Amino acid sequence: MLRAASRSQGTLRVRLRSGMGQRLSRIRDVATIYALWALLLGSLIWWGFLALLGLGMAVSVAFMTPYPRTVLTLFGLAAVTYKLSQRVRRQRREARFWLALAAVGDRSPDAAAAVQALLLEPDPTADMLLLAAAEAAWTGRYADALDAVERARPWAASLGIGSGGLKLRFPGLPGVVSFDEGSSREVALDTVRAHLLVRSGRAAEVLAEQPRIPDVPLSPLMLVVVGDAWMFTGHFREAARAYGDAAAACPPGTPEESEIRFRLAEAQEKTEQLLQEAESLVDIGDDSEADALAEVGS
Amino acid sequence: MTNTYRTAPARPEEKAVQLSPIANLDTLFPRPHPLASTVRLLGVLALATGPLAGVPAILLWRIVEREAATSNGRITGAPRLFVRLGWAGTVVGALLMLVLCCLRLLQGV
Repeated sequence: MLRAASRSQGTLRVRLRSGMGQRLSRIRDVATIYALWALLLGSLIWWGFLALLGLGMAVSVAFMTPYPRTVLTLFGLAAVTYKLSQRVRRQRREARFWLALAAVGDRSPDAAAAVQALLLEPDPTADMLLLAAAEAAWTGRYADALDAVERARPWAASLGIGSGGLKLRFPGLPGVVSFDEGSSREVALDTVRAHLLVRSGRAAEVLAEQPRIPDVPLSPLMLVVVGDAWMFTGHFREAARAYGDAAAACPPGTPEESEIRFRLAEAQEKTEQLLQEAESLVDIGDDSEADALAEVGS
Repeated sequence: MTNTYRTAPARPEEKAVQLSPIANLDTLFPRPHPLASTVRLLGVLALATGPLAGVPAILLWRIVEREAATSNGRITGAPRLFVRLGWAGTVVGALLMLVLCCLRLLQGV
């Protein structure tokens, strides 16, 4: 009787255990499927989840082989090598940028080659493009400089961040264009672009774009560029006005102010010359020519 | 219209030619070569992994030194200590591997 009772209790336990085991394995399967789903959905937000998924699968595959340790070690080595090569590639690219920056800054004969190498990169950064623009401008290749600036425009907000703040000089621009934290990088890039447009003989485009933002006061450098554009198009009175505004906005006693005042004097002299020519034409009796000259000059 | 600024200085064109296109060049440089941190890391790792990290440390150090030499003093190289660590790790690791291989061979005989 006792034996029979204990046997029946044993079979009951085994049945119970096997039932619990089945339930547990079912819960494990469901949890695995949910975890996989969560990782896949998570990878839409952060790609690292996908990497975790891949890693998990790789480890599982490794344990299916007869030499899991060897396979795991090889996986690990491959992953470390990949990360290291990525890091080295990134740092070499950075190094090329800094070397090119130093070469351009020192006006070294190798600067052009170094900048060309930067532009051949598969995905040049905004700072690289800006450096290329500065180098091209200083060697008189304004069209190339303009092209580089146009390419950098979509990333204007990130200019100078990678290099900790760039302060560039451009030939013919009386002052430094800052691409650092304290300044608006978009405005700075617009100034450079407008200056390069004037230098490459497209001053009319600068003047056409000016009324775009009439309420925003222009920076002294932008006023100078506008003045230059007026000068190039032969409107000396407007040029003098722009230079005058720029000189007033510039801190007194600085080399920038001195250069702006020089241009102002030049514009005023040209205006005076035109007025004198107009007066002499009036004396001769050629009123139509005189009116045209006076319109430009006064 | 009268000229309000007759005492304007001469246009500094000649000076501008000598100016550097990078106004803050002296604040940006000298700076360490970007690869110097990797050389440092690999040099230290070479003590534990031997030639696996030691050889890349030595090769990268050579690149860093070559580029630093061409930068006119603007970019500084990596400290020599770490490449020495790389060499030490490589040599010790290689010797250990050699000894282990010899022992295995002797055991097999």
